[in-house]
Amino acid sequence: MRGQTNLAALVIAFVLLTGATVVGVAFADAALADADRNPRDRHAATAVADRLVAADAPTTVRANALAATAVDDLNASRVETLVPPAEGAAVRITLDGEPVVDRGSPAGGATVRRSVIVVTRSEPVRRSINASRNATVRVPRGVDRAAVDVESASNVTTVRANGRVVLYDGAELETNETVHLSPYEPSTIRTGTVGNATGRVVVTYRRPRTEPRILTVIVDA
Amino acid sequence: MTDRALTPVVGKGLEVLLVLLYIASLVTVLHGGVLPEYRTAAAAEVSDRTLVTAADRIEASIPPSSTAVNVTRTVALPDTIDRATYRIRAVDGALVLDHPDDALSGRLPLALPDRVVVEGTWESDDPAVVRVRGTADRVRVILA
Repeated sequence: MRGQTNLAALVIAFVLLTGATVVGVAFADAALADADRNPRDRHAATAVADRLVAADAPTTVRANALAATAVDDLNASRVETLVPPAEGAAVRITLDGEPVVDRGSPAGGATVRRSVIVVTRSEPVRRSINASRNATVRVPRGVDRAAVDVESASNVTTVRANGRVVLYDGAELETNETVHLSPYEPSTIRTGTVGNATGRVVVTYRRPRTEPRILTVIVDA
Repeated sequence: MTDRALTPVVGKGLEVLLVLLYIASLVTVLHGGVLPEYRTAAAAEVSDRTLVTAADRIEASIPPSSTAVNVTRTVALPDTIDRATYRIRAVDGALVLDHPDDALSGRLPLALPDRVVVEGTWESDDPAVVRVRGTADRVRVILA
């Protein structure tokens, strides 16, 4: 009978070992399932968010500043053209919770958030300078370009913004040109004349309004 | 009663046989089913991540539009996936991973501005370098 007791101990050892193996495999299974993080979804979501806010993207006026008109025109096929990794995936893009693009219904997938500002341009503001009186026009801060129309004025040779010459013709300016201004400070537009200047110089600009928003991109391939 | 001396021998022999059988069955089960399955699952995950990491590194190496670009960056890639070397190619604005096992190969479109063209091939056992050369309106990305 002594051999039999040894056998019984062996069988118990086998049972314990098998149990340990099963538990080990179960843990490994769980670890493997946890490690599946959908890197493709994350890549696509990051790519969509990055391309939408990039400085050279058609949706922005500068890096991280979305143009309101471009955002209104945005749809799924435009996003696909801009960001090929989003092809065929369920995509949802929202600005502070308001849907911008919604195709398919992403269940899960990867979510990427970016802090952006949305730039809306106001209706054109027209201000005129009386060339004969050497008057000035003050353009508020934040305006980065203005159209200067000198066609209805005579004997105007120079247009200055904050002292910097932006338009010049030694004989006489006859032009309607867009000039770039510094958006970081208010600009004073002044004309330089020769002899008796007459007429009006018209300055037209659009005042940008910016709103901070959170851009959320969800992609589920 | 002369066989009594044989009892421990038979008993130990039986135990040895049982232990060997047990070990053999365990090895068969693990190597026959569980391990290869895990190996494939892990390799598929590594392949996916390798492709995504490579794409991320390429996309991150493109600077914003400027007059001239000259960037060289190294990219860390795993030497092998499932004990086999592989190759990453740029094809039509997408990154293609060629692996001897088709299930571990893959394709990932790149998100790049229109002015960027990607070309070249990376071998997994060579150091991977991404070179970006270009001007304001055309940028070439070379995988070497």
